[in-house]
Amino acid sequence: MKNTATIEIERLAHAYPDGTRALDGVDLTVHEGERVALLGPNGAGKSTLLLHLNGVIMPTEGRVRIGDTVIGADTVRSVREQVGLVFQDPDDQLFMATVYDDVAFGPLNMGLPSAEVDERTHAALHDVGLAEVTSKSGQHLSFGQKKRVALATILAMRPKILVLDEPTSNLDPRAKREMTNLLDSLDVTMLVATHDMDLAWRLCERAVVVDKGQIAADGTREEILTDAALLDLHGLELPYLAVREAAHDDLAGTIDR
Amino acid sequence: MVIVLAAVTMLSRIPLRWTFSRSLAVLPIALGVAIFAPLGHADSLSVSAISEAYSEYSWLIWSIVSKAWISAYLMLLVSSTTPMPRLLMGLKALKMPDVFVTMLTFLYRFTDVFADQLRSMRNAVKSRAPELGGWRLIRLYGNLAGNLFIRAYERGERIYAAMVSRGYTGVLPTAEELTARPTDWLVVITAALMVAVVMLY
Repeated sequence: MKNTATIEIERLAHAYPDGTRALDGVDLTVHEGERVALLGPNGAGKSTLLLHLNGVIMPTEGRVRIGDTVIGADTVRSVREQVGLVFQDPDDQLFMATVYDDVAFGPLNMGLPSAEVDERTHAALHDVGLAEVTSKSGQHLSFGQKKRVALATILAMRPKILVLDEPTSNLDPRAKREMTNLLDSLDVTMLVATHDMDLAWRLCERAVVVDKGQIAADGTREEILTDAALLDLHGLELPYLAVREAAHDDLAGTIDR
Repeated sequence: MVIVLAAVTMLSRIPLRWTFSRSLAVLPIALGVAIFAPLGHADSLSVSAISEAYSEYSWLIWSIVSKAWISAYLMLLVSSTTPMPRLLMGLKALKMPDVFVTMLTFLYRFTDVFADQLRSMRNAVKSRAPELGGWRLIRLYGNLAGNLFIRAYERGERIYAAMVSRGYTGVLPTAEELTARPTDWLVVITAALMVAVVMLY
């Protein structure tokens, strides 16, 4: 039997009711343990693609497979326990009266015994470094804290695959760094849609460029994220970290000589 | 009655003026309802019947208004001494239907979010149209309201997506079941006494 922590997307297409083809024939396979950055300009279809991965949106054409389960009406619930989706706006994800209730929401829906729900909730909040805000209301947190609690709500479900939509958007540099380190410390298959090129560079070993609903490029971190022409063509830019590392290497070369 | 209210207020350590001034807000509404109460006891709609009903049953007005005020006052005390999450849990424990508790939870959670959005839209208006008045202002606020409604609708859809992503099936689970400890029983008994006092009054 195949391991379940893989994503296989075949000829996936999605048209919204108004006729917009947000996705137009996407083929993508993510292997177990891989961390893949999903890059592309606004409106490229990244978010639509992510929403397919746990069946919030169903394909118009093609199919999505998680491990050996094809996502369909009958399998979608079990898939949602394996694929954790973290939304871009934490105010969409934190809807309960307290942080604790928000984090416990997923595990409770999974029907776990209350002792385990409690254990997982505290563990997840501890993992994101926010054990002290448990009884606070979501609205009283800073934006950076909200982002981390949103991640904790998913971590508490212990998914095999983590799908993140813009995990560092709107964060100040320090919060951005903390989020990047936090994600880096997690040992799961990851698909990360982002405009934060440094995050992609730091976190992922593979990058996929999506544009106009199709896969425009797919390769290793070095192949994609150092190809200035390719990135520019799709409204992206070189990661600063990559540029700096390259400069550093050049400099080291000069000194050696 | 007054003694009980004063005692509870002292225990709550909330400034009397704060609760008192706010509790007065209920008076116009209560009075508006109560003023017609004696009418129900009039035999016919003739002037004499009505004036007779009013002279005989005018205590009804006082009774309704004062009860409304006492309830409002106590509600203010409860809501200003109990954190909202616990109040919601309490309502659930009191067997309020799930749908209402869910609605109140969302109301509590998202009022601020929408207030923020409204504030930033108003700031945008102020920066671009500092001296708008009359009809144009009213039309503008119509637009803002519509805008806010659409944003609320879209947010609702995204929240729902986030909920089903975490296995939501239609019932909001609560993690912390309220269980009664001895001190809680003391509270319950006190509360029951309060209710009894209000009812006897």
